[in-house]
Amino acid sequence: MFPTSNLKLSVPSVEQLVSFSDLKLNEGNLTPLTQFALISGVRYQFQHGHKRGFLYTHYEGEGKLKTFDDTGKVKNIDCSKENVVRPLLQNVDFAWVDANKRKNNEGLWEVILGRYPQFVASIAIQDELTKAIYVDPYELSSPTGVTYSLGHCKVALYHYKGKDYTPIYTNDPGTVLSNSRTYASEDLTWFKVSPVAWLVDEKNHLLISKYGLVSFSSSVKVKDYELNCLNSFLEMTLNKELFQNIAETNNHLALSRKECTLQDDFIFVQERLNLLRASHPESLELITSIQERVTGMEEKVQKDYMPKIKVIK
Amino acid sequence: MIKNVQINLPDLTLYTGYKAIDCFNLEKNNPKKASNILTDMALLTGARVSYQYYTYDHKPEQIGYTLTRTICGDHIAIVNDSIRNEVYASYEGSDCFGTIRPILQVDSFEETLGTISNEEVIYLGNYPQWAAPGYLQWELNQQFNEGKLKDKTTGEYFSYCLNGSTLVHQDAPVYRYQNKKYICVISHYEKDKDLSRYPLSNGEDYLVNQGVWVEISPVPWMVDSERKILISKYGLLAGVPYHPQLRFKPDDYESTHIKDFLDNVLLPNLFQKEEVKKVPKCEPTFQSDYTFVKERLGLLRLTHPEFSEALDPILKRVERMNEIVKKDYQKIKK
Repeated sequence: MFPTSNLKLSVPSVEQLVSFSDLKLNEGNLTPLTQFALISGVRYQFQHGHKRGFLYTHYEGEGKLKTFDDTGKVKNIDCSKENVVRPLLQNVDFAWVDANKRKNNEGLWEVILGRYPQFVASIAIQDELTKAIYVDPYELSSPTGVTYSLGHCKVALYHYKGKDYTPIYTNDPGTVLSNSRTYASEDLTWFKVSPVAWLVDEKNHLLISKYGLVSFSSSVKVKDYELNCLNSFLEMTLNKELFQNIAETNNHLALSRKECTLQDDFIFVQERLNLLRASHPESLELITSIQERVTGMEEKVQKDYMPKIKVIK
Repeated sequence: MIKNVQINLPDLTLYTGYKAIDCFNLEKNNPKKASNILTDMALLTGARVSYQYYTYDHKPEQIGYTLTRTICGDHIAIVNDSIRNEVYASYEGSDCFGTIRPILQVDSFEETLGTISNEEVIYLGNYPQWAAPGYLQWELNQQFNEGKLKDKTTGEYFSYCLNGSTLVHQDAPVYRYQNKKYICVISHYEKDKDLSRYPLSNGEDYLVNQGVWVEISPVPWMVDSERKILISKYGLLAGVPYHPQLRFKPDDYESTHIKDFLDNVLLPNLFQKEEVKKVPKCEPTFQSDYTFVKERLGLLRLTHPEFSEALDPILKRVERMNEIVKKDYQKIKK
């Protein structure tokens, strides 16, 4: 049976991360980020040419929040700075997980659960949506009343031509996202609301999200309360938002899985091509032309091909 | 590739009232399209703005005054190209706020350009048009000050009139940076003014008498297939005085300074490297994109054997994407 109730989110403790030894999460690896996390203002560092963030973790029994730095050491963390939340999911029915898990490209088990804004929509679709929202707002509707919170704001979910998008104003000038457009400050950006992938820890029956999903910072500066703040954010906000339309993902699990695979592939190809381009400037034009066409492929997949998902009220 | 091009200012009749909209067969509900939208280059060289609005994605757009070659009485007619496109003003020869929105007359129109309809936009020649984004301005300034741009000139030049001085052209060299070309334009100077009134397309204000980096890009031209002419989609340039003369006679246009500027400066500037680009009619499909990407990746691998390690995983992923899409396409078709 599909797990629908009693799902519990938390940040992984150091002990749990160490026990994820197969997943190699703690050996000097910073966390891969979604673009939503990037745009929500996460502090990042370049590792092998990719942007990676510092994830929240803690020792069990100790109230303070910690993080792994890029050498794999545990450090204390100041919660008022923006680090990334990579949630851990507990109380999942593992019979369901075993039935539905699939191996991903790195040979790790992966399962799909819940939806969240993660990656930016392609340029053609962004333009269409922006036009639609100014010219004919009634064409866009948010029938479910679903919202996602970003800092202290809430953004609505819009339904356009059978797919879900959410509009966000960027706050970080010069951000380059995967659709290779550079964003000035306060540009309107559209994010796809897509299925969330979780890595499976078979020994301890835990799931940890594949990407760091969103940044978190707390203005409360009372000692030892930071973990409580973060936990309440996870329970009160993120838990609801991740699984608010869980029935959709359940009904279209095969499609969602394909959506995730394609998304991953596009991100992978673009990132690798970016690296190649940076290291070999002499073949810049050729690689740029390839990248343009890859973007074209992505656009077409998003526009015409990607199976349409119905919203269930 | 293109021979015998003539460049001119538009006739007043071309612009008369609503005729301007009709003769270009533009979208009738959208008269904005027929009006003279200013490029950043035009703003920087001192174009006067008659109307400003924001587009749906919050980008500012300015509309300016268009110079014509028509002489009414003893004055030059210029079009105050507001949205309604119907106001006219006379022109003192030494003022230089009017915008040049040139017209191209091509010999044997259909042979060189093929059969084209009025809805199409043709890209011909290159010209500095839109300012580089804010962070690049800073980067380029730094590169320039450190002398790193010195050996990156391309040998091309673009000329404009500095602060409305009659015959002195500023020749700005073209620099190549990150595979794009830029020139540095010194913004127009006006008395009692420190800051521009109108923001550039990158959303930033500029100081007067200050260098702004402008990117060189292909120039879009609208087609009038009946008259067999092309008219620039945007107002390209301002700051060129018509002629230092107060009264004109009907035949004076051919001997004016501005005609000289168009023929001997603007035309050679536009076609330093001749290229004809037409907006493609049919968009590439997923399959054609896929074959292109695969071919080019193969080419990269041939020419750079040291890439193969990095390229193999990319190729694998691209192939898998194609497989997934192909399978489901067939299903959808059924």
